[in-house]
Amino acid sequence: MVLKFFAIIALMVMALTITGNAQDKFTLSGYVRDAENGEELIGVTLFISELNKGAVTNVYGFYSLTLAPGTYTLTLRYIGFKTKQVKMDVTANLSYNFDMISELIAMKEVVVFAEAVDANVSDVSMSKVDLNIGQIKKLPALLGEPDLLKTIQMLPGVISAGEGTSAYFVRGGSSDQNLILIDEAPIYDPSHLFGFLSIFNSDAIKGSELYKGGIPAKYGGRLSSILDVRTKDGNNKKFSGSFGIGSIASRMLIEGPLRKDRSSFLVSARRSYVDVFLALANNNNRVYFYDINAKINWKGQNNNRFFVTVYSGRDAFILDQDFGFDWGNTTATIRWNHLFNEKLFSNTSLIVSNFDYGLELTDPVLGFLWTSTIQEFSFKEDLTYYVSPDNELNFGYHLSYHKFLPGKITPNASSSIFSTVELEKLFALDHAFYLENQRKLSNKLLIRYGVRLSVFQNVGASTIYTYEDPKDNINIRITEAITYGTLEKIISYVNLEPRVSIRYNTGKHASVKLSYNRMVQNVHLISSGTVPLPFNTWYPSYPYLKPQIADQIAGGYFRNFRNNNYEFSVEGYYKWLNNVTDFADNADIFFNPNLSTEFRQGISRSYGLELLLKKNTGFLTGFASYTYSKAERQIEGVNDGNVFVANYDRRNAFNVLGTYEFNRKWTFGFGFTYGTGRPITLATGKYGVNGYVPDFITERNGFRLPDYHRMDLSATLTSKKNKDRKWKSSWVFSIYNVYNRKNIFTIFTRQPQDDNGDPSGEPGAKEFVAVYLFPVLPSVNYNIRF
Amino acid sequence: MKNKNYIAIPLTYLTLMLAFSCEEVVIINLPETERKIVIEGLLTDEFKSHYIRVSQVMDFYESGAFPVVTDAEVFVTTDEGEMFRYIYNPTGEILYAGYYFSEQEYAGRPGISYSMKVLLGGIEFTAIDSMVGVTSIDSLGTRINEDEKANTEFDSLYWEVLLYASEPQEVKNYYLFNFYRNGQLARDDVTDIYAFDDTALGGSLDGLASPVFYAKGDTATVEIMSLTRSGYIYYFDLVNILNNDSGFFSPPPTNPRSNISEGAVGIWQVSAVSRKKLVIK
Repeated sequence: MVLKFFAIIALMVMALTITGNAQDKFTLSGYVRDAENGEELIGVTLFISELNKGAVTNVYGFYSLTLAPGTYTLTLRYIGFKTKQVKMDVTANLSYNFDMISELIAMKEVVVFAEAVDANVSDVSMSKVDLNIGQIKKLPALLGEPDLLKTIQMLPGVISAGEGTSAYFVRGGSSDQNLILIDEAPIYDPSHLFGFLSIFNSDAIKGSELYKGGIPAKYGGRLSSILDVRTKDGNNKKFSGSFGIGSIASRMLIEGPLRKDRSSFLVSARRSYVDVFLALANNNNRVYFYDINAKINWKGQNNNRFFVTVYSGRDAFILDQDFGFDWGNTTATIRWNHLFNEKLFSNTSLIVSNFDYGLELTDPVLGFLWTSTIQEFSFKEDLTYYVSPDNELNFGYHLSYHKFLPGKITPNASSSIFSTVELEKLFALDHAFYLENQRKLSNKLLIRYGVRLSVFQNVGASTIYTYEDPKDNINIRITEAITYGTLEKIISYVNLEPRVSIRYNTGKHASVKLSYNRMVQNVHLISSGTVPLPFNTWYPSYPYLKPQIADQIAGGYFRNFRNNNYEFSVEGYYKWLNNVTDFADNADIFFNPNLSTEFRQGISRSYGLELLLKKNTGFLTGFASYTYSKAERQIEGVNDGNVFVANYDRRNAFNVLGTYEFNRKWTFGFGFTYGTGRPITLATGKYGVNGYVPDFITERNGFRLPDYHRMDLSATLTSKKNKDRKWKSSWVFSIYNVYNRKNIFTIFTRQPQDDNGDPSGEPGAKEFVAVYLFPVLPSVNYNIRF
Repeated sequence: MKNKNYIAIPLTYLTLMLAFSCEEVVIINLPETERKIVIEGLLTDEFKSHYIRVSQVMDFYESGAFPVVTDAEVFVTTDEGEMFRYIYNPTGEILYAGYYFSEQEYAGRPGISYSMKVLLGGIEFTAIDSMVGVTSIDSLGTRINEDEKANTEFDSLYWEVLLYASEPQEVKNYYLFNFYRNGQLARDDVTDIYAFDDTALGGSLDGLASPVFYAKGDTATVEIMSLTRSGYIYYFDLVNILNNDSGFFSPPPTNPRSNISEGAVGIWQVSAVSRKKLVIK
């Protein structure tokens, strides 16, 4: 298989040298930036009318165009920015940076759009959504905190588990099948405060892209989606900042040049203050979260640019001063963008990511501290070779070293009944090589094809146990314990991931797209609930867990109307998954030294249809989406081996999100969401045993919650900016669940209770209790920008 | 032990989250359930007449007593060839509906395997469990729980019993703890089960506090039962189904794994018992 991969590379390189032979051409290259603050713009189209060809800036804002000598008219287009037309004489290789001016100077918030004007139709990518953070800030939000992940949950093909969680499910995949990246660093748990909020501070975000299908070869590691979030670089023209007071947290951001036009910094922080109120109420409980984003960059020259970015966030809950738990992610990325020449762009990144949680009980007898950590150290080399405006080659190598420390219990008092116990640590080396070519075969046909080779090695130092029957989790019989030394190979999994995307223009503003991708996932979340907890740990592929593999085909029709003001798309997909990780019924997944016996891998399949109508510009902007989807699983040892609908199988989902700019002062936001209730496992009977009355279960996910729907509204009041005022303020008023719909969050059973909460009713009686999360909830946010 | 078991973590999380929520009793339209056979049998190392109870699953909303089976043939055999016949409710007391008692008094012995057989309508439900020795309770102590005392308004249940025992580290052990208040089984919450494995336990339990509270003058009894792995698994699963959120954060509810054949639910449990009593003064 490896040989085949290199044969393909050789063929592609040959193709490259043939096309690259024409030496009588010159290259125009550089960056496109926002004139106001120097931020690079991602996805700007540069169109050459004479050739009817063009380029798009990459995720670092870089473009490269190789052209025959001559004079060309370049048109730069980007949503929210004034279209720019420049005449360029190309008589030699030329490095040129463009500055674009925002159309909406008055509405400074709405500057960061991460999309080319007609990307919906012209781009080869499908099943991809770019999110506009400026708009997210004007939408109604739970507790008034603008939230990227909550907006993602409204997109077509994306399903939430209801409300109040940051988990999302893409095209029939579970929530651990989504790779979440912040400046290229992976985030293992994106939740703050039970998932009511996500870890993404909207102030610091520049843009984000969600890939649901047709995933480019440079991305890998998860089956269902990639969420690539990029933070702002910091204003390199002048000092500026913002400050916000919300109903639950406060935010501040400072950015500015270290050396004008060359180097800048950004620091953004957010902290909740629920605990302040609790302390005032003389309550012993403490609950808080915080997060910090910091970035420094130096971009003195086009051929060498450096970035250092850090994210750190944590949640902590301390109850009655003796029981507490916390969790958090910390990541750091060092990035070096280098131009070997005008055509060869390189991005080198060094990435560290750490996720850990702890639980602690302070007690002389029962005291213990339980900790668990996952760490990842990565090196990434991504290269783009701009052969010609019609031919682009992407290739690279990624290496990650993973450390899994699933759990350690230590007594925290000398008289504690606990002893120190640590679960076996696991380590892995993850290599990925990829090569991808994007080729414009005619004005109508654009194709991107490539392959990713994933080589995942589970390595020591670890002890791997052999079981008489690895599926027997009751009578566990270990037959052998093999100890491996540091970095000694335990098992390797090699997988080839082909990726193909095709776009065919059926008219000036319409196209048909097709894609196929195979994705491989070598990290497995240890959770059998619907929504993961921060206390769920992760495992690598190892002798008892095979890599999970997903194949997806997708097709769609894309059409823009009224000068790209309206975008419409319809997409269908079929996805089949092998070795999806699940757990035996009744699995013991917390602190189990023989977790190997609890894994059950099986198959899953899903299919669906997604419709999206989006309005990009004007007073009214927003989108409406509809998704039909079905997701099933079949796992040996789960639900008696019968097919069952996945926990997140919500057949129909309909969402509308929009903002309306009433005038310079007022902007209104609205949101409506409707979805089929999620499947749930409920009792059909009960019985008496050992003095208890347990539920009797007949089928996994045999019931459904009632349909979910909710409407939210918001209004943003922006102060007028006048010349003698150095700062500008805005108020965001929002109402969550306007008509106070009682959406069931979950259902549990209990013995009937009287008004005091004491058991009542005849012995053996039971009842179902529905839990509702949020009633109508108003909130206010106050923001200042300077 | 206050925190039951670590599988209660999802529940603790949910409980905290629910500080933001409200609850309401709802009626669910359910299909008729399968009337599975439920067997509960306990054999200890005490010399007495032991029981095996045979009943059935009933519909969730059905009221009245659980349907019981009165015409089963029930007996226990050892791997040494002994046989003990069980007869249906010899005293005829309503309290013992569904109970079969061993005809003769006998005591289980550590190291011996006991097979249970329930013959019913041509189906033979069988189970095997063996007796493992149990650590003895060295002593009991008492202490006033100040937090509980401050929170208790209507009663004087704020004494806790402290347990002192050693935990043999060289073998894997599983325990079930029971606490009695004046002879009545007491639990902090109706769904509590105090079953543990010794994975994280050190060699000595020094002053382990009871999860239930006592008043002055109460007789407190603490009981430790040994469990085999299959017995522990059963109680572990029972905690899971008694304390789940229908699979939101916790694993989806499933019936506890039973050591009984033919798809019956319940357990055949063979345990050594160690017990100590104390009057709160």
